[in-house]
Amino acid sequence: MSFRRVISQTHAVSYFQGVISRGRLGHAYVLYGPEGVGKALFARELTKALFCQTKGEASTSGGPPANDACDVCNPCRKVDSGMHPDLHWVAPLEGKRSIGIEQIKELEDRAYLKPLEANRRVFVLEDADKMTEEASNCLLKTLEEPPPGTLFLLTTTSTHSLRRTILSRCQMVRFQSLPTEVVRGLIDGGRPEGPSTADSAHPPEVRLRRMSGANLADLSLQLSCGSLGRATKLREERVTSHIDRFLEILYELKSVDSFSITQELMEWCPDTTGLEGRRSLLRTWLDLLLAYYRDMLLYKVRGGGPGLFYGGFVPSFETRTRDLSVDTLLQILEDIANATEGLYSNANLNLLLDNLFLRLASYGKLTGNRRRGFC
Amino acid sequence: MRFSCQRAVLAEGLQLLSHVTAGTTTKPILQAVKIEVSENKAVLEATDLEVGVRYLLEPVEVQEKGTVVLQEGRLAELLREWPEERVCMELKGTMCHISGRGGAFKMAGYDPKEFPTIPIGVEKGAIEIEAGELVEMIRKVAFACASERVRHTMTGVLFQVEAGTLRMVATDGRRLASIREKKGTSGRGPMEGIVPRKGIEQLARIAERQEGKIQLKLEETHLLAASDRATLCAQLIEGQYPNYKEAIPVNNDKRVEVDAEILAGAIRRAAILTTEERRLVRLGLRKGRISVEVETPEVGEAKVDIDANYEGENLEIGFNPDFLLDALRAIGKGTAHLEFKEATSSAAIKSGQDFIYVVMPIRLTEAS
Repeated sequence: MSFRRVISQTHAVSYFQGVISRGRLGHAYVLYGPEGVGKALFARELTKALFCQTKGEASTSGGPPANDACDVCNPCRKVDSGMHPDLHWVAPLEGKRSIGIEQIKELEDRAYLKPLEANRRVFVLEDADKMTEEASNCLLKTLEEPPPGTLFLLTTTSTHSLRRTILSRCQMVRFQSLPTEVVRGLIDGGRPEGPSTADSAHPPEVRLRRMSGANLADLSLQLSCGSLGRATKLREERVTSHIDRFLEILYELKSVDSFSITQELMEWCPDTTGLEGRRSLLRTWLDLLLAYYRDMLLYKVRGGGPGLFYGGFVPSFETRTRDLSVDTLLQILEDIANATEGLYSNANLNLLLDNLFLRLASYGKLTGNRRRGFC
Repeated sequence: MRFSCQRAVLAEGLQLLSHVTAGTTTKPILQAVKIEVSENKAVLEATDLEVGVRYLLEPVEVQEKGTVVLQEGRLAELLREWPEERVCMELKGTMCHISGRGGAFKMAGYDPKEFPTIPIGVEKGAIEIEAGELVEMIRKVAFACASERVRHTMTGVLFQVEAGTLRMVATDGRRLASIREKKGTSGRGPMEGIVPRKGIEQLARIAERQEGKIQLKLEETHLLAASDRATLCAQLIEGQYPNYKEAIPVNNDKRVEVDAEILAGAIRRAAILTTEERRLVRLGLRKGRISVEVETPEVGEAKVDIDANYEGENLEIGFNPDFLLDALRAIGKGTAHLEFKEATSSAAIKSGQDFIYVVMPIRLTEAS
């Protein structure tokens, strides 16, 4: 691995290679951008580039370019295994949702130690927005007067959930969504997947409700919005094994009862994965639901066209959206967004979902639709 | 890998290492202990990347060499509960088999290649010091370290080797403790470094278990220490230590000699009538005696007189009783030499030639 492993983030790579070669590396950076586009990977590669023993010895025979890691020297290997004594990595502990003050205090203690093997110490705060308020305040103190020879790298998906006082002490580096083709390439190892022939044998109605591997691949790619992390998550077995049923629910809304949807969803997200695992799985389903209503809104506003996640559902959108005004659809999107937020506010998950699906069902009723299912 | 040894031998080693392994971490291997068995010995190793310790297990019977990395907490717990005198460990694949009359256990190990390597082992240029004296020195200064993270250099203990003598200094900005090794070592040095609390504690544990001498070496970035069975590597704190020499008063002319235990007893009794908000005792120096006084509104008053060898002018000076007691506790049995100048300048408490404690007084007018 080296910077070459960091795909499609040429801006960040060239920016850091520039500041390193000019000897003007700052003391703190916020690496921000969508989830799963390589921010943490980049932080690791940057650390390696700084610690690497052979860096800068630009070789002409295909070796690493200047200011890049060689991947083979001892420091590089230690960073890769997370065992370099001068790299301190902070992320929410297993089963925890936030970075606590204890973790920051430990980081602070480490920040004042002399670097043991490298010439500086690197501190990575993965998902820095997950710091508790006390933790942020504590970190602030260190960021204000950073000990000499330290580099702080904070990764986050949303800069606005970080305290302004922290942001003002860091330089910002933006990470972009990966092009869909790149994500596909990374996931499938560059294997192009055409629509399967067996699938086209079915009439369109049936095809909609069933997800062939290729369709699912496309859907997951589109829904991932250029995030490798999300695309991978959407392809996990826990999601793929239920996706057909999920689409069926979306498609045959008439016959589905709001409470049974909750029940079914909860079964798909077993608590064997722990509360955090369950939340993260439910989040995926809510994202899929959100995307579905977003498509309906888009259809309502401008008719079909490109850019729809559920392109196959277009024939049904006509009747579906007849009873739903643009305002109602916007309200639905907000409800789903609220529910997603509720996932992380310690709400009772069953009640949260019941509430959401009852609300969705009520919109249908309000507009004179007497179906039992939602809308 | 296959070896057997006394349960107590292994348990003792794990006990020492249990303070090294990381508490909370995202890397579970830092909570593990590496057991490296070579032809005729077995070595335990643990690190949290800040402090690393190797410990030689002795005696062991080695049947087959090899290396295993196991979770420290579980292994230690298992050994505590182990009913038999001997324990036998054998690595089969990635599982470590622990067997005997206590049952048959298989513990999953980590890949030894993933275990971090840290520089351990003292080579040339070390100083030697009696383990007992080292423990004593640490006991007498380490309490004075700052526990708040205001100035990081002060959270550790300064180690300084000058003219072949080791000196340790600790301060939190309000009081300072300094101790010099009684007998100079061979003319090494100068070396200097600030050892963080965790490293100091671990060094004391190693020294407590050692009978002869301990070797110490201060490198640019870390402290190395070695006893017969254990070696330690502790990272140093970055930064410039405050100039402690300036803080030690040189012309305090009001000198009192008093029995440390008697004074400590008097201060402890008087301090009962202080409160958290008003933690203040007043020392009154008169010819031939010291009085320890406390006046806390709505709580009460105390006055304890004790005999002391004092010939100078009268003086009233206020202190936080905890800061005085810390110093007297460090001195233990024996005579404490108290040196004052005036009510607003720092006082020194000395014992012998080597221990100096400096404490700032509390202004009596402001406090009352």
